[in-house]
Amino acid sequence: MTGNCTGSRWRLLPACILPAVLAGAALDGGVHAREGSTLGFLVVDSRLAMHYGPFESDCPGGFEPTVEENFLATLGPDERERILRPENAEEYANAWKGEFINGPGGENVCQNPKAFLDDPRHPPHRGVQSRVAYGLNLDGTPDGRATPLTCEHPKFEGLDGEPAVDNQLYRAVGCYKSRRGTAESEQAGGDLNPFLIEIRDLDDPRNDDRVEVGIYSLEIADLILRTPAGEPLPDQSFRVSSNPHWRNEVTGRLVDGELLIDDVDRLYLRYRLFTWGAFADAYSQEFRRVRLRLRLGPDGGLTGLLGGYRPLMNISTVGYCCRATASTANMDCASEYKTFVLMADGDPDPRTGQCTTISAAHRLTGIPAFVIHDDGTEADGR
Amino acid sequence: MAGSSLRHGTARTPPGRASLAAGRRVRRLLRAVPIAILMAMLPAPAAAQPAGDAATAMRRLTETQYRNAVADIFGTDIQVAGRMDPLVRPPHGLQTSNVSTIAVSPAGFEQYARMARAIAAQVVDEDHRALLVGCRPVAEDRADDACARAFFERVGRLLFRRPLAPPDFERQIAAAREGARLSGSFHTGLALSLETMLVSPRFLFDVDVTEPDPARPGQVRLDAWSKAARLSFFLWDTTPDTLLLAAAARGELHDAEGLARQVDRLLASPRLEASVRTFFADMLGFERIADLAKDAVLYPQFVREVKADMPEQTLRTIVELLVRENRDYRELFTSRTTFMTRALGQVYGLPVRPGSDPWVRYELPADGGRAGLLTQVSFLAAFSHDGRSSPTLRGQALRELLLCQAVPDPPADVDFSLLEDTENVELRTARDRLAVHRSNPVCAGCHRITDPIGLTLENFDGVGAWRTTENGAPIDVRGELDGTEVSGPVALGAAVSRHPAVPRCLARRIAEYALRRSLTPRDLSWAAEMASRFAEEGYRLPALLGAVATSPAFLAASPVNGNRTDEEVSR
Repeated sequence: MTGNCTGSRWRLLPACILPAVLAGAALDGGVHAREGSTLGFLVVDSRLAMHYGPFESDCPGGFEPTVEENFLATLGPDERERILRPENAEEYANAWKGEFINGPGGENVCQNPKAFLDDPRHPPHRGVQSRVAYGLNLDGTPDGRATPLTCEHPKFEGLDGEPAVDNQLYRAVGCYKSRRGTAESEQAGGDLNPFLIEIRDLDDPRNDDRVEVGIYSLEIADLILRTPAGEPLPDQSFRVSSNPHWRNEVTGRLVDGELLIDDVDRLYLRYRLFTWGAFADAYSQEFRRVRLRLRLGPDGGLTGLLGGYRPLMNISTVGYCCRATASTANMDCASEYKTFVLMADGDPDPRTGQCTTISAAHRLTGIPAFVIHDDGTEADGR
Repeated sequence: MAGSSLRHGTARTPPGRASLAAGRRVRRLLRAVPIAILMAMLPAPAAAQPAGDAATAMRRLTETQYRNAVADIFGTDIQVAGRMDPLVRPPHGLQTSNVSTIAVSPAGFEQYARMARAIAAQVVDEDHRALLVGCRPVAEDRADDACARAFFERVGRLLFRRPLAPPDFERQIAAAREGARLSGSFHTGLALSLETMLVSPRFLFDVDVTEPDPARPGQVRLDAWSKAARLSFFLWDTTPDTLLLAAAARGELHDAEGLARQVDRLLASPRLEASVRTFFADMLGFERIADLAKDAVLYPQFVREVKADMPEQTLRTIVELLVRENRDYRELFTSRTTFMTRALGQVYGLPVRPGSDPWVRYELPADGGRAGLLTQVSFLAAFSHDGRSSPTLRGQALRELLLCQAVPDPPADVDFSLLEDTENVELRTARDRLAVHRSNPVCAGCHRITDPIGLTLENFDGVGAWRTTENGAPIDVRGELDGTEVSGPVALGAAVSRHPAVPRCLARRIAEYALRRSLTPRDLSWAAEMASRFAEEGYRLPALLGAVATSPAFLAASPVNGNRTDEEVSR
């Protein structure tokens, strides 16, 4: 790894692969970059953009019912009282963890949520009732009216000055306890794995009318070093995935220190699903008609939003998971999927008109990282 | 000391066996046989004492040498589980020099006994016996003197680094025979006999054996086997190989040409790198890295992987530059060539392209503020406090480790509170705080010789990461080294590379490492001669090692009564 990428952290060369901190954490604390420099980031947090307003406003009906609660709701008062007696605990567990979450053919509410669409015992979620949410206007309309690419749906008022926000995924799951938690600090992590963002040809980190942006999954073998407290460390090197499916090349612009990326038709990122004892590596997470708003921070990191339409069966709980999710995590994936179907607002099926994707937004936090390409350029670079 | 340890150690319950009966037999055997044999094999009590004079004739194998020897003789898959008594670093010297004076504690001998038992058991187990025992007994359940003899003929020479004398053979064979009788197993008996060799002082210590010197009537010289051991431990950090023992058997090590041939062979081998690594880890005081801790809030990047990689980075760099590329030793302080891992990259703030090997050879950026050993985290982090950098510790380390100059310890009653107050709003940088600290005349004397060096490295924080400010104040990296004004870490490296004491110090340390004892005044002229040879050879490390290894002083019999004749050692 020798070659011509020998610029110091303050003097960047175009061929160099450099983390944001090298250009960003300049002496005065501001973000600086030299002409044509490259910034790299590891996105370490990509949770669903969930807004935490007053709970009673967001979720006046309380948390959505768990699968166990849905089971109990199917019982009359006497039967409910009987089965909850301590001496009937085994019968109770077998009842809600048995037939109630498994269909006659062995289908499971989380492995096969589509199979329960007509099962009224798994009702859709009530959804978030308040009008404020994080997110981006993805359909371009001010009011969510139907378009050739979208179905009619309500809009949110955006935070961060974004009007007419589309974030139906938040509406669907924002009152689900296992996703929302009881406080913002308890929010479940997103269903995206850490990924890389590389900004190239950056002339001015405040305003640049065109930059190239790579959005990449990383090589599995490049583990993330963390502090003993579990925080990922900055300035680590990560190779770009060797699978071209997970290498997305887009363009964007910088306006007042914010990276704006619009109209990305498709974005794919690898999703490693942790199953019992092993990772399954072949899954992809898919976004359509993607927009990003990312602010470069003085610490060399980035924060912002990724918005786009996600295929309904591409959301981990209903798309990939897991026979035990219902019985151990007490999630009713059939209810969740049913909610997605009802709230889907993107990509209508030309035959039925039913939308097949749902608008979503993820809040991204990135730390400076070195993005290493396997095409030989970095071999010259270092 | 040793006698009581042996009794204690050998009375322990042996590892489990398939049957209780066999276990009882083995326990009886362990009580009966090894004590008798081991006691007989110990040298006279006086020989186990540290020599009063600095020149001594018994050197304990270091843990690395012990492990290397076991691996060389029996293979790397033989597990050596156990720790030895630690080496204590003498003031301003190498840890290795302590092997000439250190005793073995009872607990340490217990460890030896435990390791010996485990090693011997592995050598004869089902997985290894075909290869390592090398012969099949006539019957598994009884003694086979011929097979035992063949085994000890081959292995005994390697373990004791000389051929076994006939009485030694008979002792080992008798032990194997008795062990087989009591245990009902040839291989158990063989293991018990082997175990006694592994706890013998003749294995655990490198004992000088002398013989009359035909060239100097009335004088003695080291015998050829002792010379072979001295050469091998110096240049390979392990026991002599069969070729070196064969050269000893032929008497070639008493002959200048024969000696040179062997030294050249040892120097040309990749195994030289093991000894170079051991030497520099010792010279640079890397033992302190094992206990190094950093404030996790201030230095979150100091994770387990970094701690493991930082000494390795330096040792790989040294081997690459000084051995594989045979470069001028002084380039070690200016070269931008090093090795990097992903973990180290995040401390250095540099990209690392990982491959199948986590270590990649690396050229540091030309204007990145780093070059040479003094800018590696193994030096910068090791000679810092847990929550802040330390120009004083870094300056002291440079003087003591690289210039062989002694810096006195601070007085006991010094108030360090000001230096530790890194959040002082008035004194924001280490330079500011040290300037006030030096106003105490008791402190000023020593700080004057350390701080101007260490302040040039203040671009590196307490873990060795780059910085240009401290508490918001710009860092001034001006300083000086023995009259040479220096600004910044790269300039310091250049100044160190030009300092005449640097190569002299290395030659002195190599001399100390070669003799495995502290130098005495009598050794200084020899060390100076080696330094001159080092300069003449362009400061090439292999040339220095060769000059030392072939010099008469290195292979001279130590002039004290610590030397043993072969007969004495056997007794």
